Amino acid sequence: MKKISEYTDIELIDSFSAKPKIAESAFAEFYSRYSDMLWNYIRKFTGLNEDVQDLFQEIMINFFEGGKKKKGKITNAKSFFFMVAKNRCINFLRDHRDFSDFAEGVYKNKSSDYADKHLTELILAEIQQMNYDDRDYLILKFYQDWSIREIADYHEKDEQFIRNKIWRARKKLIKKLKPYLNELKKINKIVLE
Amino acid sequence: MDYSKLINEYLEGELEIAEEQRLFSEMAYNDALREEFTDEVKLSNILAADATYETTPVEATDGVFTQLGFSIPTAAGRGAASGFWSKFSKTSVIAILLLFGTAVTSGILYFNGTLFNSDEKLTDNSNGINAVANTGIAINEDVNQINGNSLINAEGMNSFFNNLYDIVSSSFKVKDERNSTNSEFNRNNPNLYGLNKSSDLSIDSSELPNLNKSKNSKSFMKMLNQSQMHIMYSGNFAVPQMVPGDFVIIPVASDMMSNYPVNKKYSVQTKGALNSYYPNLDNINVDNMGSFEIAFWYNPNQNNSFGLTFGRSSFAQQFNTAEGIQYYQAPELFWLGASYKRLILEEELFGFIMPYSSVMAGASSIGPVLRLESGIEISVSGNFGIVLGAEGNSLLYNVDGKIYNSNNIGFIYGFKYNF
Repeated sequence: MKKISEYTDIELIDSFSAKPKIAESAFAEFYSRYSDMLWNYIRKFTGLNEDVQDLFQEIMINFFEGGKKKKGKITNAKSFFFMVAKNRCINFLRDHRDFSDFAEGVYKNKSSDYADKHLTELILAEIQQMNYDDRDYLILKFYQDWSIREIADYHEKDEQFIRNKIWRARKKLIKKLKPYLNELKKINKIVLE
Repeated sequence: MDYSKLINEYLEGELEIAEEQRLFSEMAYNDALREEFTDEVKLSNILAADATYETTPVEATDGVFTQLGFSIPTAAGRGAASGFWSKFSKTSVIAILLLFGTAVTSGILYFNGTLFNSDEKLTDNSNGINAVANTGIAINEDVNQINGNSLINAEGMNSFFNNLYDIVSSSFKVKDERNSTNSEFNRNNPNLYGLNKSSDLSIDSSELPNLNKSKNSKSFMKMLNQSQMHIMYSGNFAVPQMVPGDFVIIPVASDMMSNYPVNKKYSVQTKGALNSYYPNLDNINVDNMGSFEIAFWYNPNQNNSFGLTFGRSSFAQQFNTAEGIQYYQAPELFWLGASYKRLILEEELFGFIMPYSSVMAGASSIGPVLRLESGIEISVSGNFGIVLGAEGNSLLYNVDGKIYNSNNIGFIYGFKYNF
């Protein structure tokens, strides 16, 4: 008999509607695979600080309930999961459009490299200025390590379309970061000398 | 040629070798392209490092599982570690289990062996009466012959009766079945009576409850039980003074013996627990109701038992992962263990209460479980009893290379059936 840890993502989601103990084990296994990804996706997509936990819990619970109803109908578990996450994040942002608290002090990170931290904050601030689809492409590509092919399938777009989007986004980011990158080069040069 | 796109494809790992050579040839003398390449590499490094990456806070995990009505996943369940057993190779785990199994088996064989060899033990019931009480007297006859009232070795029988006299005469009166009158059994000359048949002496079942009242009688009952002989009294109750010497051995229905705390070879026991759990988790309710246990005991003699125990218990866990996240959870774990139990007294207090102590070593999916237990067994009937006591359990488990323990202590209650 196959261990729960050997189940594919699809098999885990199909088990959500099984007997309670099996459903619980399947959800716990799925959670262990994707919880960190979701947490960081929400943080980066929304730029939220205070409400991330509520949103995270809501998405996880919605996903479990949705998975139970869609037994046998899901062909790409990861896409389905991030579709649920993205839609809920967008709804949340629309519902809270007037909030001005977003992104302020959001990225209190664990890096000891202040320069990298600062650049990362700039990149994320830039990403959060983009429309929701572009934002999703970049987060999935840059931070969730999806391939161009996976993103294209998930968004039902041509691979070249996604590749161009990401390429343009990189150009835009480099332009934005250029002053900082130049500063870093100077610092590195001084350090090396 | 758009060299910017080539840089992107290079960073994606999608650039063909010929184009890669072209890109680097161009960069050799194109400063602007080289700078663009450097910037792209730096951007890629920053993105890959993801200085804002976070692991999911434990509060968020608790919230999700609590809202879904699920128990919070164990350390092993969330993949942080494969539990205590990850410290050992599969081979060493099997070796430890084999060693433990061998030790338990050796213990069982040892106790069986001493039944054959020790003068202080009563008898081996597999081949009739081989030794009687602590005298070492042998009667080399088959139990079936005794039960069939056939003649047996007269010398041995007389010795047996003589010994019987020592044990019971202080408390009980026996009757010579061959005479209508009571006459005293003469231990110095047992052949006077020619006691050589199992039906020669008897005791009425109405006298049996009195046998609990003395240590000698307890020993006598134990001896008779282990030798598969039963006794019956059929004396004349009209005679006010029954004299010692008229006992013995005839086959009787076993239920007549059911009031006696006799040693049964096997027993089964079920148990529940009301425990307090440590570490104390403020916001997590640890469920007592899911705890249960079933134990199968092998009782090689009156005071020692070896058991195989299966059960489920809750364990409170508080641990930190390698990422520095603190987890609080209380999973319910199944475990399987081997137990040893010692009945503390030679005979029951008040005829029905027997104190005991036991230890158990077992294994759960995330680590070993150890237990100390003490309590009393209350005989309700010969085969059925109630168990009350206290226990302390300890679970050891491993998270990211560090060993933690979870403990509980409390009261236990259960039932026991001998067979």
